[in-house]
Amino acid sequence: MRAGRVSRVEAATEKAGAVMPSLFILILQICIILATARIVGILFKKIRQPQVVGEMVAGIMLGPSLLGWVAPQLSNALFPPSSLGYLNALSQVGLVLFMFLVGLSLNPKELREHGHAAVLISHVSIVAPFCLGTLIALYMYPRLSDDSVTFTGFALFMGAAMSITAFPVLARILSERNLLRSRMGTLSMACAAVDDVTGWCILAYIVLRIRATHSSSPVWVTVGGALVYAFVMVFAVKPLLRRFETSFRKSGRLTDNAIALMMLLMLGSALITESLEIHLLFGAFLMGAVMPKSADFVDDIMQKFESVTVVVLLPLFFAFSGLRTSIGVVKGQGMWVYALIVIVAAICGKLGGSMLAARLAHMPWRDAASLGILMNTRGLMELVILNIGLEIGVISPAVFSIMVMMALITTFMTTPLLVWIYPDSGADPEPSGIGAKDAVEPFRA
Amino acid sequence: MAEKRAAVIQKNFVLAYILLVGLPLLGVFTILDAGRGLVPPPAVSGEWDLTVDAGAANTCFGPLTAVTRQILTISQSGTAVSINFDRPQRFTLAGTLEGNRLTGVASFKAPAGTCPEGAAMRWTVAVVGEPRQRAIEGQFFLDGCQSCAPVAFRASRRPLRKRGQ
Repeated sequence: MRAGRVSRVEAATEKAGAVMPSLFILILQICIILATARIVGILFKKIRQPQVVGEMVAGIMLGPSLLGWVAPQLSNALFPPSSLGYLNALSQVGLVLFMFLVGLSLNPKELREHGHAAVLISHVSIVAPFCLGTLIALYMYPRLSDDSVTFTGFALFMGAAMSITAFPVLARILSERNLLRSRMGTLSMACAAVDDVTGWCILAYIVLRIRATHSSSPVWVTVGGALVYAFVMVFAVKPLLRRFETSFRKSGRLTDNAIALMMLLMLGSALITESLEIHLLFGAFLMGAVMPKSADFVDDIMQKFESVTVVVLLPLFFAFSGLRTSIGVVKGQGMWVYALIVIVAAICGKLGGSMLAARLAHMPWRDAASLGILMNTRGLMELVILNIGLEIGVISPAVFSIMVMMALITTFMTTPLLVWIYPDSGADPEPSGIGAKDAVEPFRA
Repeated sequence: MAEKRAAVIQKNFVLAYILLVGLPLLGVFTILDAGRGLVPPPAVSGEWDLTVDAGAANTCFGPLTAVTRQILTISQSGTAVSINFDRPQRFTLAGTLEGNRLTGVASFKAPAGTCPEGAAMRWTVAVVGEPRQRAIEGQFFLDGCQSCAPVAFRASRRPLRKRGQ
């Protein structure tokens, strides 16, 4: 039965391939990915998980961990290695857009409004998991890495990957739990924003170091170029971008020409950071971060890009990540011990660190614990970072798969733990008053 | 009174910051320094040009020696290595790195009558050279099988693609 289905798919793809070698298979792949992502996402919503967690799991299901394991021939017919370049290209376009939206959602004003507590909690929630990440690198480097990567590169990457918080997923969870405008909600969003910016800066440094060893241009050119570019963006481009907001105020919406120009700027920024040998995602993120931050303006851009990015393009990225994730690589007692160490370190560092810092900032235990749980959400941003790590060769396929498992578990545990600690959060919480009116409804990731 | 309270809060904040941020940061630098002496396994992942000794192309080793020249793909996660052959059919050999020595057992059985029952087919490889000019030299052999001589092979690494591109 299964063999029959496989041969029919193979025959269909071969027949179509004779006419259009790649387009047929690409569109077939997109259909399968979107359908699987939607179905699994809806099922996850039924168990009170954010849809994005289900979509991430759907991606893994389509890869060698499930489909490739249960039906290797079907998997090979649907996702032949030669066709994955197209899927990757599309998913990268989606990620560029997504990172622009993540940058756009960041609002440094929210952090400033929370004063000392936000500074302490956000810094501890970066440093504590970072420290544990580098500590476990001491154990994992001789066992799961190789001599093409330096210990410093490996350890810094592990630290950065441990310290990230999935800003968009966190926003979604807070929104679903009616906590987005509570003090804890705005505080955790502000801390997550700091975590992400810091994590991305560390990652940019790692990518730069690794690419510099394989590059013909001297490292100081890349470092200097990156610093100059960031400086230009913040002090020269940012003031100019206010014209978008002026135009928005005049006509009450962003015109098509304004949107096109914004896209061109975002793509141009991505190309510049790519040519500086950092990564195109940093450019897109930076362009989003320096955009004007008034709530209605951000909301308008979100509405225009959200659906196509989150509903269509991100599942392609999840599927591409899933095709690279092989839980089968994590075999044997030793590998599962590494996986357990990574998961425990990730939870202790992020959840424990944030909770302790929040407690020291005089937050009640319940709020401190909730904040720790929220900051422990890694989700999608972790996947983005891990894919970059695998791409530049700083982590091996086994470390990638272990870290993907960690990302899924830490994201999956957030809602049940939050419901357990904050059972009444379904009701309208007391608004913080601080930043509440400026809070932007997060996008659906 | 309010000024006094603000000063206490400020002092507590500084103390907490030193304890929870400063000390772990110091720990990170200590760890980075301590890890510099660690020796990881040699990198062997990527594409390799394989040459199997043509004179030894016998039937004892099945598909392993059936094609004398081909491109291998090796994927690696630390000490765990899998070697993927494309010809004459797709198959994978799993192996383990210990220092510069890569060893493994293949799941093929020698053709009937050539070797004692249950003779295991093994392979051993020495990894030589610097990461960018790495080569491997090794042999396939059958445990306790006099009629099948070991077959030597060597492979050189194809130029690495630029990382991250």
